[in-house]
Amino acid sequence: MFKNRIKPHIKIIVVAGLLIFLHFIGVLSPLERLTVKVSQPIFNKLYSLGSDWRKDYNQKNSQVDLNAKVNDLENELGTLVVANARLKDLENENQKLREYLNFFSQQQMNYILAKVTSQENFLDSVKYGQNIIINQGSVNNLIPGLVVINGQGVVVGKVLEVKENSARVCLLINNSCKLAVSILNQNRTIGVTEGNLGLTVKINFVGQTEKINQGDIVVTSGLEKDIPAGLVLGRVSQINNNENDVWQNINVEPLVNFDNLGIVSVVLP
Amino acid sequence: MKKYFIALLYIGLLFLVVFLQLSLINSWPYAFSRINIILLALILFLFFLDFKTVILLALGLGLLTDIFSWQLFGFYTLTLFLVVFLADFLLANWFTNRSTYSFLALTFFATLSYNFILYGLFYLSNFLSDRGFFLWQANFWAGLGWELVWNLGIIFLFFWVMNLTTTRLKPVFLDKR
Repeated sequence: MFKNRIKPHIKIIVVAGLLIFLHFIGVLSPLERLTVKVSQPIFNKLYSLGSDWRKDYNQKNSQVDLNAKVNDLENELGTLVVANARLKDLENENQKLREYLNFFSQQQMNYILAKVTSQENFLDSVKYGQNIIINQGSVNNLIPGLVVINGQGVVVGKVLEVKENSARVCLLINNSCKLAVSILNQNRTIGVTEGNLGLTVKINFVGQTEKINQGDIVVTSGLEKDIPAGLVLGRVSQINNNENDVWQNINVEPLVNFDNLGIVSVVLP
Repeated sequence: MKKYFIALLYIGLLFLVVFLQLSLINSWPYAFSRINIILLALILFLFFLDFKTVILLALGLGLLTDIFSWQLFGFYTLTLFLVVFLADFLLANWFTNRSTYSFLALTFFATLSYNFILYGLFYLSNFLSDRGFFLWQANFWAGLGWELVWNLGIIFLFFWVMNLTTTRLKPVFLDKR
């Protein structure tokens, strides 16, 4: 019976197969490029509408919990003032280190602006889509492996794949998004970050002898091809260093609001 | 002339559905982003249009999604084809046509089969990567749960509103007289 239902439509199935074949041999490329190019402004508009609503929605949800937290926050204020002073000190230290090692200043860096057109959304991803699509591609010299930053110069993620007029970028919180980093502690500990449950970032395999403090700033190490050193990712939020373990695991709190990514920059080599 | 106009209308509709899904709905907050209007549109087409038109629309939806997708080209087309044939088989053999109950059951089976086929294909294409098997991931089941809730809810709402205006969609098998 199933066969009888398919039989009259075999022509359509063959056409579908042929179209897929034509895609793989590149005959459909001009048509696909045109479709993507023409659609991009609509994608931009709809994506910004959707992400604006997501931002408002998340803010409203936060406001519900806000009142309950006010008392706790007041108690923490004193501690935070001290922590803030320490962070400012670290910022100065970071600045001096940048100058000392002759890092790229933002003006000297070669970058290209890109609009986020959509977000990949799979059932097995957690909170965020974890991969975003931007409207710049190989025609703008983008290649896989380039680092993507936001308006403040904080790392957002890394280019995974490139098409002619678009690119797929993994966000830092994506489990498969790995980046060579160093922690701005006394030894400038190096490591590799990976996303943690779609919410934070972790650095694994850091030796027990390395002394890392909560609040230490994490920057790109420059050990990866095409990624400059010194781009800020976030700060250390938690250190799991059980004495019986060989390694300590570091949790990093990203400094980027992933809900609010409308325009990003791709740092070119 | 009318034929071309209808064809253009369908093409416009396909673009609209794909745009809304990929750029608008995917950027909504977590639970809301699980609405799958590509699948919902296909289920509604199955009930209101002839099977040949539905297959052509499934082909259009699949190809358009494949163009914008970063997965292996053809995955969405293949999945939508399989879902349409499966849904048609269920509709022709198991469910009473055009009752709300058959719509809900069909939506349930179509959502399950769509996701199992699609994520099965994703898994096969990433077999050598470190991406875990989707069925062992709690996030997959949570996402699927949300998608079922939305799809069934929207279909139910749609037919509740439709039933207020037309008698075409009344549950046939409950009428014992």
